[in-house]
Amino acid sequence: MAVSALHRLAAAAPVPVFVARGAGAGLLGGELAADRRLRLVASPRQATVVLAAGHFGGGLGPALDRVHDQLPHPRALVWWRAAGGPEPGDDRPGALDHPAAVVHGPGGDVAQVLVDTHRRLLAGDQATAPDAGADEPPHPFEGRGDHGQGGEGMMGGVPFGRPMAMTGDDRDGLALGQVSADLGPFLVGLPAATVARVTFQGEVVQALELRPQAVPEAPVLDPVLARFDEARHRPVPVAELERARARHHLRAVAECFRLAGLWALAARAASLARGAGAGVAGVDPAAVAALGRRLRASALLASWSGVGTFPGRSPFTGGANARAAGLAADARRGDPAYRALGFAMVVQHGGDARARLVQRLAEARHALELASRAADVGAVHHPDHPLETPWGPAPDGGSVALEVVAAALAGADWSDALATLCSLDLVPDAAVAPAGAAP
Amino acid sequence: MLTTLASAAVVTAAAGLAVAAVRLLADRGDPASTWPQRAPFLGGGWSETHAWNQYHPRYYPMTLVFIAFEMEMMFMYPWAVVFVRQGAKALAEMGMFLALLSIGIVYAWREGAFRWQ
Repeated sequence: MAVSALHRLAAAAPVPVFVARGAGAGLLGGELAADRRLRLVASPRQATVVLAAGHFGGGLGPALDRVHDQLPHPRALVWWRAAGGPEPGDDRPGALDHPAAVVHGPGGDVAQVLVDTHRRLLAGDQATAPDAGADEPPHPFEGRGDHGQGGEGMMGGVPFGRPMAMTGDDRDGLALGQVSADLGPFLVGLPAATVARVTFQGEVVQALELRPQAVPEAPVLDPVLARFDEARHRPVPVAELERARARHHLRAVAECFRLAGLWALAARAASLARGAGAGVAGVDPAAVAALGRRLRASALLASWSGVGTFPGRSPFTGGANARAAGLAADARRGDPAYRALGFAMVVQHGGDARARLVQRLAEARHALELASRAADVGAVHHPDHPLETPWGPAPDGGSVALEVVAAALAGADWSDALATLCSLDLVPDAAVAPAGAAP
Repeated sequence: MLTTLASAAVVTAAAGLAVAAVRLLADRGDPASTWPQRAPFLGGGWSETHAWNQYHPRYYPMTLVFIAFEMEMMFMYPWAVVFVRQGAKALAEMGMFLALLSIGIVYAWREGAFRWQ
């Protein structure tokens, strides 16, 4: 009796969802933060449902299996995949073998499917998902003795068959212990489908390597990625392009808010992103300006000030990251359709995480204003003219080598490193973006 | 007689409880959580180090050696005073004490406490 009452209460609460961002999904999953029926959580331990958005080939498969198996029971997986994409091959992760539900295409009502799945789970109508991988210790003891309890050596020997954390010089000239771990690809703040191999000294990043996980021929789920890919080959109305741009920037800002723990702001930005994707009457640029004022009232801008500034000249030659560092570069200036609309560039100064956040909000607002002007005159972008994607000029003008970013983050605190990566909104993997549409 | 019987009953009951508890708990074959659930969440990544990597107390063997030698010295000074009065008896007692401590030293030796790596 009491237990069933508890079940009913739990079923009525917002559904804790862990979003695993796969290839081709972009930042689409982050828009669910706008839905009051859902609660996007940062760890699978808090979730009952894992939403696998996109496709999970290559190195993403085992990672999805691990995250899936880390959910407590009862649990379920909902797969949000591109409509009409090819069926995944033999390298499909085990977690996707028996999903509780499959949603095809970005237009499906994923939130309702997640809520229904959660309720069925708690009512006992849906069986909990079994482990996708083996129930084995990830690092079994290999020490000496009957229980692997022994080892050898005192000063940095091999106790329990595994080497001790050795010391290395840190940024302050001290010799501190180092720990290495592979983080991601489903960590909030990290670029999509990217594993960060980090060597920590305490909370300080001593060395960082960003490894994009290639997912060959992943179909595109995210309408923003699809729209900019389409614009490379076919004439596309400027209003649609700009709404897609605003939608992307607002999602990227929402992601940063989530990382900073500002849930209400994240929900608001995600809601605006949804509105921008909804159509002509979707969202008022003044609402984006209001979000900017609300952001200035929070402490986030102050705490991100001076974080993630690249030493010397900014390595970015185009895109919002370059404009946040004061570089006046925008491919839209070379497009006659934009010139006719009276396009004026938005530029910040500083080139830090704060400037990039402010730049994205300003560009989102600017894009919405452009969209409404472009809709009035029916402006169209032609594929022969230069195209500015949210990441920089197509095909790869705004790209920067991941090694450059990783090298700049050595010596930073982990929180600052994540803030930097989140504010950069890197799209390193050609499979995440449609072929060649983004760096 | 009554005391002996009561003691025997208490010991039997305690042993029975212990055996029953072990049996009952051991038969619950379903563990509370699986290995992946017990591993740290790294966003889908995997750590390459074991959980004790940072926290293994390397000073344990050194502590063992320290205690062995320190206890030896602590008792030798008062013993030297008593030895004058007691003679051979005190010598025998100190011999037994040192023999016990030596077992600890031999154990520390076997564990590699004297090896500097």
